[in-house]
Formats: sequence, structure tokens, C-alpha cells
Amino acid sequence: MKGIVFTEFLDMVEEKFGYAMVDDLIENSDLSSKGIYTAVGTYHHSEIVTLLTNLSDKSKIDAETLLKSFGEYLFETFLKQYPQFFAAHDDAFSFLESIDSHIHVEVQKLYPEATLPKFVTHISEDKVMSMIYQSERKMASLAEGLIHKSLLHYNDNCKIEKTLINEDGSEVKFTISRLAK
Amino acid sequence: MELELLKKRLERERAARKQAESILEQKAAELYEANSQLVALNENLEEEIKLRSKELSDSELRYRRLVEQASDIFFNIDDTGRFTYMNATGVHRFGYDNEEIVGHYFSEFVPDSHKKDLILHYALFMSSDRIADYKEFPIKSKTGEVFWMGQNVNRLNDDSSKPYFSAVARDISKQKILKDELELARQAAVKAQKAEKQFLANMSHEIRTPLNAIIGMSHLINDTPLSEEQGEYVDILISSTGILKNLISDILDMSKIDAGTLVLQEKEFSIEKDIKSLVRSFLHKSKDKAVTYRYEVDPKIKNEIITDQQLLNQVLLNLYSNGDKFTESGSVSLTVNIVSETVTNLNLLFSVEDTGIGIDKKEVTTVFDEFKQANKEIRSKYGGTGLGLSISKKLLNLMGSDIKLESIPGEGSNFYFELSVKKGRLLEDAKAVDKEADLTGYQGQSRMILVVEDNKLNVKYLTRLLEKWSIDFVVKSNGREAVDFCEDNFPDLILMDLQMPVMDGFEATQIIRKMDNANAYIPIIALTASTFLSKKQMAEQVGMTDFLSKPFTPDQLNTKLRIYLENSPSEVVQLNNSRFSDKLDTGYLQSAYGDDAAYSLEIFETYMEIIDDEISTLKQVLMESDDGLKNHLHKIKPIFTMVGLSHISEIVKHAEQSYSDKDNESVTSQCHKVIEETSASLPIILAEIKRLKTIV
Repeated sequence: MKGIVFTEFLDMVEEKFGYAMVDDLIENSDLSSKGIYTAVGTYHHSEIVTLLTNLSDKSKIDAETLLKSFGEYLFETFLKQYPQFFAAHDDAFSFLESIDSHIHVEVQKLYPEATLPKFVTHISEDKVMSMIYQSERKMASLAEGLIHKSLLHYNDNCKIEKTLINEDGSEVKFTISRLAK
Repeated sequence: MELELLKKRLERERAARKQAESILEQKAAELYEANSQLVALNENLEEEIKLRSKELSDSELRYRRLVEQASDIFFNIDDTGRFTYMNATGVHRFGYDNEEIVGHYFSEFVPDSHKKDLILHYALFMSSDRIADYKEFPIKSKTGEVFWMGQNVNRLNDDSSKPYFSAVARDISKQKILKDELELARQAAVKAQKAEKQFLANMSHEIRTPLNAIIGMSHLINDTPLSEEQGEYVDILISSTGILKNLISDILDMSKIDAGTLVLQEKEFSIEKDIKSLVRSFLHKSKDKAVTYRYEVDPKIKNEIITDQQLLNQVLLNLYSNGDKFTESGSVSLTVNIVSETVTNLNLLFSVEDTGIGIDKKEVTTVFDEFKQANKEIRSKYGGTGLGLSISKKLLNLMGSDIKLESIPGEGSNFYFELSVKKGRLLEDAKAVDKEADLTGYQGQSRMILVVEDNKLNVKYLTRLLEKWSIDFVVKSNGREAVDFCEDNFPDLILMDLQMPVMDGFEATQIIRKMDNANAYIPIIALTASTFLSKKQMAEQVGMTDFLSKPFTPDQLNTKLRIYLENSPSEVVQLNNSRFSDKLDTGYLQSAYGDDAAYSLEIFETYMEIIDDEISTLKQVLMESDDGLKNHLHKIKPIFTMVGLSHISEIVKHAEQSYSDKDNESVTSQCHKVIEETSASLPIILAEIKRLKTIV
């Protein structure tokens, strides 16, 4: 997993719970990286799962909620670091569609070793968009946070419905419906 | 605690920085490597592009040279008709500078006379589905000289699918001139060919008319009392004019066949009748040869046949004459047999077999060539033109058949061919119809022929023959007179010349055919020296019944009269042929004198003059009983035969034999028998002389 996920995650933990929590997580999780992360590096996926699980235990907040919050936090970082991807679109549907067809294609070029989730999208009559998340990482809630923030960014008043297609969470359908303004 | 945490955090961040630096360093190395590869790749690409560019420019140069240096003119024209390109050859030929051509309309270079044509032509081409076109136009060059350009134009589309024209053209002025000259030459040749045909037609007429007179007059001279010497001269005259006539006919036939003007004209006729009269004509001709003339027609032929009678007869006559010519003794036979038969057609095998000199194997093929005979000796010994067999072969080919020849030198030849003919009426039906027509047509009427002819010689020839055959006639010298005559008179037949002053035979026939009287149906026989089929066709079209080519022999006229006057003139002929008493040797007399009553009368009268003396002498030498008897018997033997008393000649012959056998008693009794028979036969001879006198 890309280093930026780890650095941003720890940044979020520090912001929300203080550096003591960060240190606690690093000290008490068995991490092969010893908690030394850099945005340009790549680390094993299990480490984020360990960190998340431990944070959930310590904070008494469930992992899915934490993950969704992390998605929302990550959105701001992306918006700051890669504004060009957002500026290219006028509305949320168009932007969300471009994640799989354009942004992930570019990411893959830059990091050939990266394992990215797949999104299958479909827009019907400009009102409803279905977005199916497919990944063995099973981190649909992270995507949900990102989607939520995207809708807010484009000021698109929408309702998000989340349906598990696969019980283990490796395939999840988001139905995004536009509401009357 | 706080400090401890801060220290840890610093350490972690330092570790992270180092990690990042090492990753970045590695990335930088990778980048450098990638860059070097990129540079190398770029260099290769540049090299490749250079190479390709050179190839492209080389190839472009090649094509440019090809177009520029070609001897043909290449040009492009846009859809408005303006030149967009022209190669050096074209520019040079047009005589202008390149700038004076490119951008200018094609029509500017075409003379006014052809501008409209050019614009119209290419407007049509543009609106058609065709993509290629060839057209010739005159071009006015800068010097004012006009040349013809033949151009192959292709319609193409440019990158923006706008149409334009690409043309390959060349100066065709020379070919054009050559073509014009050739056309002139062709027209001249056609004209010459026409003139040649006209010449042949004229020659046919011009030569045949006087020849007709010569032949006719020769026959007439022969009918007058002649000295032996004169007779000999006339014989040569007749046979020479005959040869000349045949030669002219053959040459004309050949030119007609070669010109392709001969058209098959089918007729329905009885092949047996046809062949019978053909073979019969030879019985009269050859008096001094021991040749039997035979014919045999397959009795299985139950129908009249339909084919071109005239051509078939010409072939058969040629072959039969040929057989006769080369046969000194034996026979000439004409046989017709059915090879196969269908409901509508008969496949007949005609065969003319002779017992003549035969033809050598290596000469079998050359005898059918024009003007070729088997060899030089044949020509010098037998004469002839060498056209007969060649014409026969060509005529048969025209009728879809071919002639074949089998021959053994010294034993004879067999010329044969198969001919497919259509079946006509049943022979029995045909006979019945003919009889009926005879009965209603001519029964009880007097025989009278109207002769319409302006040539005095021809008139004389014709009328002498008719007089000889005791047929009444009236002579009119043009069509007008003939028409006037036919208003109130009813001849049995008209002999009509075609070319006459005042009114020709065609017009006269047309008028007579429209008359309200019986003359509308009268047989009219055209007489002409022209042998061209077109004349015959015209004659048929105006309603003429038949056709007789001048010059004609008495036999040929006789045949025609026999056909159209049936019972009447055939009686005349029959009378002539069997005028000799049954008690005489009619076979010999017939062969010796034929229809020549005057000649036989002369012989009979001479016999009467000398016979008394000869018998007295016989009585005298019989007493003397020495060689005088032998000599006298030998002298008188042929005298009896000459007047048809062959049986007396036979007795003389026996007497001679007995004399040689020294059987004196028998000699005496046979001589007395001769004397008795001679006086017993006198009334027959006298009756014959009386009869002959009425004919002559």
C-alpha cells in the first residue's frame, strides 16, 4: 500500500487523538516497518489493518466509522496535492466516473506495483449513479468517505446508499441519488 | 514523558526522511537509466526517420522523372476545368511556359470549333458513373499550329474528396493523318471493287450477246447443205465457240462465287426427271465413242427434293462432262442413293463414275484447284480451263457439302458427294397435279410463241429453231409492242428479252401480269446475257416464270419449251426423235443424225441415187467369182447401216465371212438375200424420205 495512506492516517490520528495515541499505536502494533512511513514508499497492506484495528480498540470507535472518517480526511489531502483532477470536472458524477477511467490509470502508470480498487460506474438519466467497489482490501468505507466529501466539494445534494454485493465486503455497491435542490 | 515522546517522534521522522532519501536516490538512478534509454531510442528513431525520408524523396524523384521525362503528356485538371499540373513533355508540345498553362482552362487551348464539344464531353463524363474516358481533341499550340491529342482521362478524388482529373495523353496527329489516308484508300478500294463487279457484269453481257449470235449462226450454217470441207470448218467453229462460252461462264461463275453474290435458291423438283434429261443430253453429243451413258436413281426416293436445282445441276453437269471428257470407252454413270432419311430430310449420295483414264494419287488434291489440271499432258491432250472441278467444289461447299474423289489410273474415277436436301411433294402427287394443269391449261389450243427481242441476230436464231420445230410464232421488237399484242392475242408462251428499247422486259412482264385476260398466267421465259443472280431475282419478282441464259443451245431452249408447253412441243420433239420407221435401226439413226432431219434426208436421198448401181455391180461380181466380190461386199456393207438397214449389213457381213471360209454356196445365197432385202426395203426408205421432206 502506498506510503501516503500511512502518513495521512497517522497525521489524522495525531490530529484527532494526539501524538501519544500515535506512539501508542506504533509501540503496541507488531509492524515490520516499525512505524517508519514516508509518502514515496510502499508498505504491506496488513499494517494499515493492524493500525486501524488497534485504534478502534483504544478509541472504542468501530473500524468502519474510523475508515470512513479517514476517507474524508484523505479527500482534503488529495484536493490540496492534486487539484488538477478536480478542476477538470464540473459535477460529482463526472468526477466520480473519472476515478476509474482516468485517475487510477494515471496512478498505475506512476506506481506500477500499486494495487488499486476497481470501480464500475453507471449513470441513469443524470439522476442516479451506481458505483460498484471491487477490491480484496475490503476498504469500501474509505471509498464512502471519499465519495461523501466529493459530493460536498461539488455541492451536489445527494443521498448515498451502500449495499454489500459480497458478504466479505470485497464488492460493494454505492447508489448515489441526486436530491431536489 | 512529553520529552520522551518528542524524542521518539523526532527519531521516527529522521528514520522516515532517510528512508525517503534512499528511495528517492534509487528512483533518481532509475530515472537516469530510463532517460539514457530514452535518448538512445530517440536517436534510433531519428535515424529511422532520416532513412524513411530519403527513401520517400528517392521514390518521389523516380516518379517525378518518370512523369516529367515520359514521351507522353501527363496533366491534372481540377473540377473547374483548369490545369493544375502538366509535365515537361506536355508543356513543350503546347509551346507555352508552365505558368501560361497551369491555372488556365483546358478549353483555352482548344480551337473555337471544338470548344463546345470539349466542355459538353467532360460535363457528361463528370455526371456519368464512368471513372475512365478516352477522347481526341485538337490543341492549338502557342505557335498557332494545331495538333490532335488523344487523352486517357481518369476521374479521381483529392484528400478532401473533391473530384479532379488525371490524364495521360499524346500527340496523335500522325496516326490521325494515317487513319484518314487509310479510310480514303479503303473507299478507293471499295470503289474499285464495285467497278470490277460492274465490269464483269458488262463483260458478261457484252461478250455473251455476240457469242450467242455466233453460236446460233454456226448451228444454222450447219443446218444448210455443206461441202465436207465446210462441214469440218463449221464443226470446229461450233466446238470452239462452245469452249469459249464455257470458259466465260466458268470465269463468271468463279467470280460470282468468290464475290459471295451467289444466293441459294431452293426449288422443288424430281431428281429422277432432272438426272434423266441431264444424261440424255449426252446421248446426242458423243457419236464417235463406244461409251454407255447410264444413270440410276434410288427407287426408295418417294418425294420431290427441295434444294438449289440450278447449282446442283451445274455440279452434276460439270462432273458428268468431266467423266465423259476423259472416257474413251466403257461407261459414265450417275447414281443417286439415299444414305439416310428423316421425316423431313434426305441425305443423298451422288456419285459420277467413269471408266476413263483415272487420276494419279498425288494429283487427286490438285484437280480441285483453280486453273489446275492433273498435269500438262492432260491439258494439251484434252484441253479445258481447269475451272470445272474447282467450281463444283465451291458450289458444293456453298450448299454445305464437299466433293470427294477416288480414282485408279487407267481404270477410272469416282467423284461423289453427300447432300442433305429437304423432302418435297410425293412424286405421285406431283405427277397428278402436273397432269391436271396440262389438261386445263393447254388442251385444244394452238401452239404459238411470242418472241420479244430487239436483237436481229437473236431473232433470226430463235425463229429458225422454232420454224424447224414447226412452232408458230410472232416477233415483237420491244416490250411496248408485246404488251399491245397481248391485249387481244393469246400466245401459249412468251420468250422475253430483258433489255430492250422503249420498254424493257421487266416492265412489260409487270403489265402483262396485271391484265384481265388469260395472259396474266402465261409462262414468260426471260432471255438475257447477264448471269447475275440479281437479274434473275428481279425477273422472278416481276413475275417471270423461268430464265434462259444467252447464249443457249437448241437443246436448252427445247428443254424449256418442253417444260412449259408440255404435250405440244414434246410431241414435236418426240416426232423428231422417233420419226424413223420401226422397220429401220432407229437406235443407229438417232445416234447418227439426232434431230438433224436435213442431214438424214441428204443421206437417204444419196442412198437412193447409188443403190441401183451398187446392186447391179453386186449381181455382176457374183458371177465373176474373184476378189472383186470380196472388195464390193466390203464397200457396200456400211451403206445399208447409214439408212438404218442394219439387218442387210449383217447379211453382207455373213457373206464376207463365208467368202473367207471358201463356202461358195453360202456366199451366193447370202448375196441373193441382200438383193432381195434391198428391194423389199425400198418402200420403207421412200416413205422415210417423204416424211423427212415434210419436216425439213
